[in-house]
Amino acid sequence: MTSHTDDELMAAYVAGDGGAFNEIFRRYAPALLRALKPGVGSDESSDLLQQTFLHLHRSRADFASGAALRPWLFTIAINVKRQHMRTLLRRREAPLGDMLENLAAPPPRTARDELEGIAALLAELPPAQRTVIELHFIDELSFARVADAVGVSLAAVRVRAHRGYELLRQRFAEKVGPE
Amino acid sequence: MESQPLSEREASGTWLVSDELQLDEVRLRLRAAIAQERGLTARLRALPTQGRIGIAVVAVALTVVLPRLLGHFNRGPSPWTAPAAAPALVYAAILIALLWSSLWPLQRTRSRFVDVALVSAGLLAPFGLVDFAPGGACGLLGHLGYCFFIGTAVGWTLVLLLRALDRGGHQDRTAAWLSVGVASLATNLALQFDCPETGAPHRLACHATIGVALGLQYLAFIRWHEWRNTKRSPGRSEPKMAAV
Repeated sequence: MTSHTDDELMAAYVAGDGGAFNEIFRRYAPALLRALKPGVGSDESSDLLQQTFLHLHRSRADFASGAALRPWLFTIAINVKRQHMRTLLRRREAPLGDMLENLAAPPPRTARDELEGIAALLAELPPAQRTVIELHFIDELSFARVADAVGVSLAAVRVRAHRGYELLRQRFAEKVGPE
Repeated sequence: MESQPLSEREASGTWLVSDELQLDEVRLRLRAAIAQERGLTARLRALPTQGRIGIAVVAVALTVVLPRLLGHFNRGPSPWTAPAAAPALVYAAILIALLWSSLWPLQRTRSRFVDVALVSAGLLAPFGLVDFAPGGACGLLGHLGYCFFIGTAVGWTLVLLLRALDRGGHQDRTAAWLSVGVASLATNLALQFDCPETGAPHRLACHATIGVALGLQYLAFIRWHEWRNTKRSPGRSEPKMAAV
C-alpha cells in the first residue's frame, strides 16, 4: 500500500478500502498536524486534525481522479482552522486550559531550542504571511500549490512569502544579536 | 520525512514521540467518528457536491412554488400576475448564489467578504420585496394565515435541511448563516407570491422580519447545542466533530 500513488489510494478508499484511508492518514497526518499546531493547544490541534480527516471522509465522492490530494487536504485543514479561530475570537475567551497546560509542560529539549525559537517567531507573523510560510517552508509545498491551498494568486503568495521571510530574518537577527 | 523510522525523526529534532502518540490518539478517535457516520444525514453529506446542491435546489423551488400551485389548483385561475422579469432575476440570482455558497465544499477556498455580502443580501433583500410581486391572490399560505409563523416554520425546516446537507454541520457558522439567508429569501418569495395581503406594513412586519427571526432562532439553537455539548463533556472548549 505504501508504494501506491495518492490517486490510487483515494480510488481504493472511495471503493471502500479502509486500509487506503489508514495509509493516507499515515502519509499526511504528521505534516497536517505541524501545520495546525501553531497558535492552538495540543488538544485543539488533535481535534482540528480529526475534523480535517473527517471532512476528507465526507467529501471523498468529490475527489476527482488526477487531482492532487495534498493541496486538497491542506485547504480543508486551513479552512477548519480558520473556523476554529473565528469561534475562539467570537467567544473572546483565552484558552485557559492550554495556557495551564503550557505552564505545566516541561522545558523544551535542548536539541529543539532553535526550532522552538523559529516557531515562536513564526507565530508572531501576520496570519496571511504565516500560513504561506508554514505551507512553503515547513510543509514544502511549491508556491503554486500554496496559492491553490490558500486561494490567492501565485503573485500574492510570492509577495506574502517574500515579506514574511524578510520579517523573519529581521526578527531572528534582532533576537540573536549582531554576529 | 514521514517514511523515516521514528528514531531518526526523533534524532533529527523535528519530531517527537509525543507527536506520534497524539497521532495514534487522533487515529483512534477518527475511527470511532467514522463508524458513527451512519443514517440519513451521513448519507446526504457523503453525496457529491452537485448532488447535495441539486437536493437543496429542489427543496427551495418546492418551498417557493408549491404553495402557489396548490392554491391555483384549489380555485382555478387567479387574478395573480407574474412579477417583472428584471427584479425576479435579481432575486433568483441572489438565492442561487446563497444556496451555492451555503453548501460550498471545504476543500475549496472561500471568500469571507462574499459570504458576508451574501448573508446580508439574504436578510435584507426581503425588505426590498415589499413592492416586488403584485400579490392579491390567495393561495395555500394565504388561506392558513399567520404568514410570520408559517414562514418561520417553513424557513426553519429549510435551514435544518441545508445544515444536514452541509459537511461542516453546525460547526461551520458562516455556512449556517448562509443557510439562514437562503431560508429567509425563499420563504419571503413564497409568501410574496401567495399572501393575499398586499399592504406594505404587513409585508414589512410579517414577511421581511422572518429572516431576522430565523437568525435569532439559529443563535438560540447554537447556544443550546453548545450548552448540551458542555454538559456531555465538561472541560472541553469545543465539541468534538464526532458529536455533531
